[in-house]
Amino acid sequence: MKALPEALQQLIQAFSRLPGIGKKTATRLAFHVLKMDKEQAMELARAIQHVKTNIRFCSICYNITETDPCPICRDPLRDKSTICVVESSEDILLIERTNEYKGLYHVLGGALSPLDGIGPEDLRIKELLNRLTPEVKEVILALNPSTEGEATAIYLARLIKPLNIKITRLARGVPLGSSLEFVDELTLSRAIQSRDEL
Amino acid sequence: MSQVIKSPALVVHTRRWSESSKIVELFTPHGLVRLIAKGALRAKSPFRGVLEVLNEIEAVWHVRETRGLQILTQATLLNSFQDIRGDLEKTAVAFAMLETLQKLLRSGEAFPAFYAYLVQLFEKLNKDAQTPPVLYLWHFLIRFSDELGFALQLERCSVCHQVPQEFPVWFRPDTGAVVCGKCASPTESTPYVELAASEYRLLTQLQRMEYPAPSVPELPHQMHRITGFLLKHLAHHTDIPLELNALKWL
Repeated sequence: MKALPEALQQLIQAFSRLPGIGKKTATRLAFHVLKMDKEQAMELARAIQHVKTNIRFCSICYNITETDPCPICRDPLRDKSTICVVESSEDILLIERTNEYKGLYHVLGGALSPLDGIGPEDLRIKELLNRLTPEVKEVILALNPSTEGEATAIYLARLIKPLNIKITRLARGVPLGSSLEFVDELTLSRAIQSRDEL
Repeated sequence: MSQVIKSPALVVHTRRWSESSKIVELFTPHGLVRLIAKGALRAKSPFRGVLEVLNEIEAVWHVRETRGLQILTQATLLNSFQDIRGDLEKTAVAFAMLETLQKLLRSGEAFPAFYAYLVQLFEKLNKDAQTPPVLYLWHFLIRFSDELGFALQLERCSVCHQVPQEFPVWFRPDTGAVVCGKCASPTESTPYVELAASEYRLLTQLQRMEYPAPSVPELPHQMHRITGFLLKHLAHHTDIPLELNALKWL
């Protein structure tokens, strides 16, 4: 590594901090940046800077946004009677891609995980409860199907139930295109529990 | 030379490692084991759904002394304790037990009998719809203190060695012993905890029981107080502060 100029070494180190990027890939990427024309490289640098300076949290749903409130909270066509609770902003992206959901969102910022020191006060639970006005008729708990996600869902359900708001959660079961042979027992048992009537 | 170990295990904690792998912490009859489950986050991974906290699994891992972190090669689900997961109090109590293990045990310390006890305790907690879940936590804490070598001495007064007849009695978190009303006075500077007759009977009964049962007397009002001094006793002897995050849910 000593043969490489200091600036290039720094870039390799920066790339190797990204998820899924090892030292070899980081070196390849750094050399690619070196070969880029100056304007392209500056564009990349500006995009990174822009993301870090202009992206913030929506003050209503805590999704990442450039404008506050975020485009989803501002959209008059969204169904304001339904709030879908997710763990992170990436989950909103996934649900939006389905084109199935037209309501609002609330980003909790994680799930209860006592062994990681994450308790109710570390999540945006108070903010969610403040949003539950009489206009809200349903809260969908779209949390990860992990032990921590489930515990968070039960915890939230306990807080929301007295407000007489319908609480639902995502169904779990066999993935499309899969075969029962390859489905784990836990998923299969959940699929049986949340079976549909035909 | 590598050695293959096949063992039942309880999943205590998992965390993401690199793009698609997980580091899993397991409580096994061999003690606490930390392993890497390569590709566990991939959609087609055989570990998917198996390496969830609270699950009892059968794990197979390869031990190579030159490697810092051993590799989990197979995991099969034995019990997912569905009814614990469906109940917030039961989940909090089970998490509190795992949190205690994670904080107090060091890897390499084997606890085969305690492992068998804990799996049984989870099975009973899973099925039990009558006993308040917190009794399971107290039973666990009493048994765990015993396992670590500083059992509670509740049956007789540690000064006069008589079975306490007058109440309240006084519990000392540092010694884990009770002192009867005749031998101790509440004005003493030692950190005594007052135990009412009902609390004393409940704890002695729990200590005698193999597992908690609905037949235990009525629950005292200040449940957190009892959990607090049982934890204080463990913390005193291990020198590790024990504030369990899971109990904040209750």
